[in-house]
Formats: sequence, C-alpha cells, structure tokens
Amino acid sequence: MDAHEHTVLERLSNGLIKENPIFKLALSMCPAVAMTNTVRNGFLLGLAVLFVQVASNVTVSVFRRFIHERIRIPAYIIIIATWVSVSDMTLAAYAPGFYKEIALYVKLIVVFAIIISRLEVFASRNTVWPSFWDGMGMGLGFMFALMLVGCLREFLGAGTLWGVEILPFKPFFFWSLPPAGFFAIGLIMALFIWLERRFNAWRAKR
Amino acid sequence: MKEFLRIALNLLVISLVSAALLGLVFTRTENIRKRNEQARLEASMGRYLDPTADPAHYARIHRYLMERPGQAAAVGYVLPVRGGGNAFLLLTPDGEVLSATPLDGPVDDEAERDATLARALPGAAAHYADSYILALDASGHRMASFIQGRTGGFKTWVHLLVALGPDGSVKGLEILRHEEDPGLGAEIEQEYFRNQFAGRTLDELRTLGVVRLPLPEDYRRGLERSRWAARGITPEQGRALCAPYGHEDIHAITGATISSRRVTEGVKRLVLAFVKRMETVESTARAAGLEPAF
Amino acid sequence: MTARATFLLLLVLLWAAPAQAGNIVAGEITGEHELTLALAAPLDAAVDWRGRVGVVERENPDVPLTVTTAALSPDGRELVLTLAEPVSGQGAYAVTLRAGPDGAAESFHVRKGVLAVLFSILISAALIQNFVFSRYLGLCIFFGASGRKETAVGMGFSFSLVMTLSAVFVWAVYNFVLKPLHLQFLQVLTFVGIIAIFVQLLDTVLRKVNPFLFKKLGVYLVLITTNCIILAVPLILVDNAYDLWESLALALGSGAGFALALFLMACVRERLELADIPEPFRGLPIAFVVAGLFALAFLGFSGMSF
Repeated sequence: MDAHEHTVLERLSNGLIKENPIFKLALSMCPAVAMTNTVRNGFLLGLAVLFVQVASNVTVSVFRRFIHERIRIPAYIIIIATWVSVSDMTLAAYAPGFYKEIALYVKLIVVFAIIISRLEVFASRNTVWPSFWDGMGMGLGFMFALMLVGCLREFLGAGTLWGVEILPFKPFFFWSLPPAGFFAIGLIMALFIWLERRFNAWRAKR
Repeated sequence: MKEFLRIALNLLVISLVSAALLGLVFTRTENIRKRNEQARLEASMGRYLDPTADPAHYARIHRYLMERPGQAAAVGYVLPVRGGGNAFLLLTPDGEVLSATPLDGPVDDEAERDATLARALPGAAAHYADSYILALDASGHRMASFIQGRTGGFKTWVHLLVALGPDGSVKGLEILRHEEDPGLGAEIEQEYFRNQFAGRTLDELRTLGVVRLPLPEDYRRGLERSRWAARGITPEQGRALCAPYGHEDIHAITGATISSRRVTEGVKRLVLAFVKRMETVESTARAAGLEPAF
Repeated sequence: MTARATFLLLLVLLWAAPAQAGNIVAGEITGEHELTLALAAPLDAAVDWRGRVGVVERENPDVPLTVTTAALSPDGRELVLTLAEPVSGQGAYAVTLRAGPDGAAESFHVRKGVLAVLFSILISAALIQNFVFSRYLGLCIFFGASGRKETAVGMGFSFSLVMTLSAVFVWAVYNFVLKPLHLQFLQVLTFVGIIAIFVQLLDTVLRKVNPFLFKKLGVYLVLITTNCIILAVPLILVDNAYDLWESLALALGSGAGFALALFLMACVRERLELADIPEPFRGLPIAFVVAGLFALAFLGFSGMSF
C-alpha cells in the first residue's frame, strides 16, 4: 500500500469520485438496481452500508494484529456478518416502516464485495482514523451513487423527489419499473467515464 | 500442530465474541421491536377512530383452525371475557359449540398464545388463522372493528387491515405487507386506490366489482386525503369531490387489473366473513356459558 | 371416458394427494371460477348435484363458497362446478359431496400435489422470479462471468453445485439447531459461515479429485462466496418455511436460472465485441443496458403461476 499521508479529504474524495464503488469499481451493484426506485430507499440502504463499512473498517483496524493471517478472510466475514446483523435488528426495531422496504437487502450487505475488499485492501494495513475515513468515503460514495440513480428514476418515473410532488404527473413511467435500474446505471456509468476522459484531456492540455 | 491450534483458537474467539455481541443486541432490540410494532398498529387503527371520543381500549379476538380427522376443521376463537382473562370457544363450521375452555396465560404474543392454548387443550392441533380487533369505548360499545387478514395478490400474499365502523361499513383499508411490482401492483398502497373502499356499506360490498376505467381527476383529488392541505382543499370540499363516485365499482389501477381485482375480492371476503363470524360468536358464546367482553 | 377425465385420472398417479376413500378420485382447479372433480363411479344425471355439493376454502371452513352450477359430463364421471367467487391454484379447498339426499357426505381436498408444488417453485426460481433479471441479485459475478460463453457455463455449473449442497445444509442447521434453540438472530452469521465452508470444501475436494475440472472452475469458486444469490436463497427458504424438498427445488431453480441468465448474456456480449459502440459505453455500461433489456423481457413472466 502506498505510504503517502491519508488525509481526511483525500479518503473522502477517493470514495466519492476516484474509486466510487458503483460507478468506478463496479462492485455491489445489486441494491443499485433494485432499491433505487426512490431517493429515500437509496438513502436508507446507503446509510446501512455506510454504518457496516465504517464499523467493520474500524473493528478490523483496531484488531488487525490479533487476527491471524491465515484466517483473515473468515474473520472479516464474521465481523461483517455481525455488524450487518446488528444493523438489521436495530432497523427492524426502531424504523420498521422503512425496514420492511429494504429488509432483504440489509441482510445481503454481508456479501457485498465492496466491504470485504476495503477491509483487505485498506483497513488491515492502516491505523484506526484513516480506516474510519476510508470507510466513510466508500460508504458516502455508495450512498451518493444510490441517491443519484434514485433521483433520476424517481423524478422521471413518478414526478416526485423524496415523496415530494414536483410534477403533477408521471413523466416517463418506465423509470419506476425495476429494469430501469439497469439502464440508469449503464447510462450514468457511461457519463462518468466520459466526464473523466474530458477531465483528463483538459488536465493533460494544461 | 501448535500453529493450527492457535489459528483455530483465534477463529473461535472471534466467533464467540461476535455471537455474544449479537445476543446482547438481540435481547435489547427484540422487545423494542414488538412494542413498536404494537404502537404502530394502534396508531394506524387510531386514525379511524373519532378523535373527540374517549380513548378506546382494544379487545382482540384470535381465530384458530383445529384439524379433526375425517371431518372439516373446527373453528376456534380466543376471546377476552368479562373480568379480564380469555377463553377459547371451539365451534363446528356450522356454528355448533364443541367446547368452551377458559385460558390462563398470556395471549398477546403469537408464541405465548400457542403455548397457553397447548396447556389448556393438550394434544389439540390448532393453528393460527387471523385476528379481529374491536375498539371499545368506556361503556363497552363497539366504536370500530379491524380485520387483519391476507389475500392472494398478483405475486404472493397481500396482508391487509380493514377498518369497519360500528354499522359494519368500511371506513378504510391499509395494506400491511405485499410483494407486488413497484409502480404497478404496489400502487395498491396508494390512497387513490385504498380510499375508494371507504364508505362502502355491507350491501354494496356484496356486489362490489372492479371496473377498468380511468380515475376521474376530481375523484383522485378527493381520494388523496393527505394532499388536501397542500392543494388547498378543505375536508368538506374533499368529501364533496368523492361523493358522486362513492357508489361506483372500484376503478382498477392502470396496468394492475389483477392486483386490483384480487384485493377487492379479498376485502369483500374478509369483511363478509367477519360479519358472519361475529354474529355466530356472539350468539354461541353466551349459550356456551362465556361472558365475552365486547 | 372423456379425454379430460382420463387426463385427470392420470394426474392422480403423479400429482394428486394420496387417494382418499370415496367416489372422488381427483380434483383440480380448471378455471378462475371452475373446479373439476373426477369420479370413480358415475353419478346419476337426473339428480341436481348443485344441492348436494359444498365447497369451502380449507382455511375458512365456516364460509361456504357459492356453487352456481354443477355440470355432469355425459358419462357421469366428471363433475364441473362453477363458483361465484374466484378460486386460485395456490389455495386449498375442501369439497363435500353427498351421495344420497340424506346419505353420508364425503370430503375431498383439492390442492396442488407435492410434485406440482416443487415444480412450480423450481420454475418460479428459474424464470418467473429469475434471480438476476427479476430480483436483481448476483450482479457483480453476473457481469464478471458473462463475457464468454465458456466462462458463463463454468460459472453457472459451479454455482448450481454449491447452491444445492449448501441449501440442504443450511436447511438442516436452521431447523435442527437455530430454531429449537431460538437462535434465529444468528442466521446471517451461520449461513455465511456454512457457504464459506462449502466453497472451501469443494475447492479442496475438486483440487484432489479432478484437477482438470478444478483448473476450469477453480477460479469461480472463490467468487461464489460474495454472490448475493448464494445468501438470498437460504434467507428466502427460511422466510417461507420451506421443507427439505422445497428448499432443494428452490436451490436447483435458482442455479438453473442463474446459468440461463449468464448464458444468454454471454451470447449477446460476444457479439457486442464486434459492434461499433460509442467510447464511453464500451465494456460495462453497454452490458448494463443489455441486461436492462433482458430484464424487461423477463418482466413478461411476472405473475405467472403453475
């Protein structure tokens, strides 16, 4: 792992843009397709993933010398599964209305490749605070991606944003249907790639 | 070998710590979850009660089915009786009393209720069907009734809560759980579908159908009660908007005719069955020596 | 005997519940408001059977359904009942038939046979609720392994294998360990653990037993552990309280559906490589759009039931 200083801003911007889990790394896309028919669903699931990511990052970072090298993958999985179960139970108890919409996906967070890959790549080799901010960055990047897709789909499909009626009709109902999640991600991903190319070309010209 | 033991021990410790943490969180959150669930149910029921009347207390009737070999299943009701406590009334499908057994033990939680029943009627194979909740005022009069049941939807089950007024007319419909397609069958959750059932009398329900016609715009505005304030519609105006359409068939959701039909059939079935069962229970309970608390 | 009655009698052997003593040998939902009974001994055509037959839903035995007509076939071996209320293939019904005006009534349960239930779970998991195109799960591996037909087939096969084996084990552990001890809150932890163990087991066994197969499939096995579907199937079978055979049907169906999705996608993506695609879309973005088109197509299966 490179030895340069991990600042808070650097970690946050890394998760949000440079290594955005959905649009750049293309990991853990299942909820991005299924759960983005409204902005609110995307936000809630993103929040759950953020919590699990940060908690797992911090746990692994704190105990990194205690976890034996040979069993690190099973250990990571146990840690992630524990935090996922904790957030699952907490959401079910305190926010049952929201929970019932995202129930299956909260439990599936444990198999999101993004979380275990951050543990392997970053948290197991860095101290607590950089790991915390790395988790925050990745989690926020994930939430940002989900909410972006959610905005597109909810606005075009239902004419609302976060349940607030913006247009009194449904502009293009297709976007509310589940398959539109695929289209939305494909289009936004292409947009990201195009923007990045333009940005790099502009930087190279300077 | 020693290395292997160290690794195994390492993994074991991690697993045990995780399991212990989960156990702790579980015991703390499980009670909260049950309480919140009850509170939410009572909040959604409270919406259909008159806010100016005295606060209600709820009497819960739980329906059970008991298999009888070679015959049709018997229907049993866990009823609250006067003076506190509960009793189990067992009837044949035709309404004859088979037995009336007092129950001692908690009946609010499903698992506890099953255990209490098993103690009172050892060896009986009873399984839970659905519940009725009656909202009673201080003098024991029924202010409203709530039916919690399920019906087959387009995909799997749709779990409903139907609110009835004291005269048996429908006051409202809530969708508790479903797995319908978002934007299509899931629109059954929307007010413009659910509120079409409000105000239907029992006779209307018997012949209620579903019609595939677009929802008139003013009817929709009248149905979306939560948006009255934002749209500057007073309650009287809202009710006036709905009035001309209140006796028509249910307008199906665009693109979700089957879901609309199935939910309508389900509501019909649940309400008519409830009315029939309450009549049966009320007439047989006293004959069986029970004093129902409703 | 009419062709339909013969068919129904054949169904008895395969699909119906164990034959009950009585004249009714088979019963089937044959329409949205129609129920057909096959009889061993022909009934008297002169009798109005509508008054002698009763139909109830098994879970509402005190609410009789309205029989509007009862039509007897010419040979008297088939009785077609038309009901006012809709009847569904998913439901369980009890039909009572009185042979004489005051004679004994026989009761028959009309419901889907065991094999029919298993078959419908399998088809549902493979097509109607395809895990990739209808439930939108397992996408990372889906996009990763659908580049070539070969990898698609390999991945689909390994996945089905792991899924079936672990589904059995998960069912056993949940029903014999977690439920009796009221440890359901540990389900996520145990399921992931079991799957990881199975993947590891399969990896080791394959390495020793069939190195050739291992070389072809080995790399996919590791990826299976982080697949959404592999955890979703145990969660679903627990949620629906499936028994062992139903769990197996679900696992096989999900594996078949996943393999189908992979193969279809691989066919398209191989051709896309030769197409002239705009720069930003090359690679994953266009794959997403294609997947969206497939998902739209699979939406057509929605709501079907057997």
